[in-house]
Amino acid sequence: MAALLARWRSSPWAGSLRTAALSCALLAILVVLPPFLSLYWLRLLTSVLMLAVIAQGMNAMAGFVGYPAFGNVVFFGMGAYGAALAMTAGFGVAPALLIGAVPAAVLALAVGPLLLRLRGHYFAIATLGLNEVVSALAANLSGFTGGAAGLSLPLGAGTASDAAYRAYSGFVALFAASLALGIFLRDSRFGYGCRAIRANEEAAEATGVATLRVKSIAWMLSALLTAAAGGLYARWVGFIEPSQVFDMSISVKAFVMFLLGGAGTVFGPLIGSLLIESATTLAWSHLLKFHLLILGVTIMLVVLMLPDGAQGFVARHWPAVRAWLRHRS
Amino acid sequence: MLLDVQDVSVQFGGLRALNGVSFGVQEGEIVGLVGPNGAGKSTMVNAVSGALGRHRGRITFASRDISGLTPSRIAEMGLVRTFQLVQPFRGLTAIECVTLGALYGSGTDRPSGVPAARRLAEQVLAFAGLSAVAGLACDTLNASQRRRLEIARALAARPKLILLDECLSGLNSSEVDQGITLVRAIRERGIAILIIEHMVRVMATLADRIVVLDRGEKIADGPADEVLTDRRALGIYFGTTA
Repeated sequence: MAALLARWRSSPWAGSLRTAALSCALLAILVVLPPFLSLYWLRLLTSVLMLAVIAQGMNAMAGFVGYPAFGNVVFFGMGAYGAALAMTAGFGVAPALLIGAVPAAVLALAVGPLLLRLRGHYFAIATLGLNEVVSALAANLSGFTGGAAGLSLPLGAGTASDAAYRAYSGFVALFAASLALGIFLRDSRFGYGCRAIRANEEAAEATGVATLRVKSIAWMLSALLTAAAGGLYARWVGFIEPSQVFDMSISVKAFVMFLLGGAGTVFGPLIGSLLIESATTLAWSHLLKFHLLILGVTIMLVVLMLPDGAQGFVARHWPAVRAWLRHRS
Repeated sequence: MLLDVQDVSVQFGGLRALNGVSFGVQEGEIVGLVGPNGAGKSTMVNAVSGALGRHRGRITFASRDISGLTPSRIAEMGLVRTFQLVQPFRGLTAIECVTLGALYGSGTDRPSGVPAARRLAEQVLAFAGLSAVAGLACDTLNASQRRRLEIARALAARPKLILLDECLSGLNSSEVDQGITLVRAIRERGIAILIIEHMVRVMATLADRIVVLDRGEKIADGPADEVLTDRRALGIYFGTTA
């Protein structure tokens, strides 16, 4: 038994398997949870999962590859519009999500090789510009998108609580995909390439990582995930308009969340999303006027005091805690 | 000829960093590239490894023209470099750095999958005497360990030719000896080496052939013992007029 355990610990896949097991346990909890939740908590959890997915999309680029894709909300908006238009035209949910996500992925692949030559703030600003362009198109192609007046989706069958359950289960599935993406980016050959780019792009290129291609593909994966979240969001709320689905504050939130949870980690986005959404909900209900102030202060505190996020903070202090526990027992 | 540099010139604005330099490296050979600061040694390494992008002249590697290829393409063909200023992969452990080399790097004998790459990385770390620090973050290693890690990363990339850009500078005497032993062991694996180094001792013990650059021009090229006794070359090398 001990030998087996030792072999398992030294296996190169031990980390991946452990994370996968933890993910499955988490997903199992999420699957059995709904009957115990009121509609209010179910909706809150749905939005936590949605933001965790968007934050994972941000984490894929900004956390793992080190490129702050601040304008990633553009893919959320594209996914929402693509899926909404497809559903209005009579497509089912799964094909509609695909119709929303594929153009977003194509856009990332098309502009990636150009924008990904910029680094740091310059790249962040370029992605902001991309979002402005696409959202202006959505607002002005009114014959196609309904323009600034927005777009209503066909109502699904059943009661409001049916719709809430549907949205919840959709986001649980997407959340599972986002965890799989996190494990892939952490442990695969491709993931090694991404992390090497974040650590030192010049040395990564010299080691044989085709940096421009790896960055573009990573951004495409990020776009797919974010766009799928946009599509599910459109179906969930039933009405979308450009100012709402191309809203930069979605990106800002996602950015704070993955930073708070732990950049370049698998569960960081979920941890960040849980922390921020509960904090925001509390702030909304008690301090309506100050909730943005609180969000801003949180951002500053995280950047100053938790540069490697909550998960990194725990990982850093875990050995000391374990030693203390051993000492006590 | 494994690496064949023909008439390479590089111009930075008004400065001609390299002026029509030609030389070659045979399979299994150790060639030393020496010259005073500003002679164009690093420019040559950057041109050969693809980091420079544009240059004049022709560079072929394993009989294929590599001028204008990206560094990653060139590394994939089996020409891998180390950096003069060690470039640690911040946030990666030593074994992860070397695994990266194994996963990417040369296209021949590439390990299939992360576990195989990791096993290769363990072997290479042992070869470089770094097994004890495999799990440490690579930016916490000391200067000598970093230099050896840089070489280990390049070795795990299974190169045919390795460019060692001042891989022993900043080390003390016994660390330099360790480095010399390591470079010899690399050659015994059949890997050709182009080494840039300031220390005459290193060149005298390691290099089969020495190429001397000065102000962008090649001024000597021959067997190590001949070049190292050439008064003119040595004079330039030490910055004195002989």
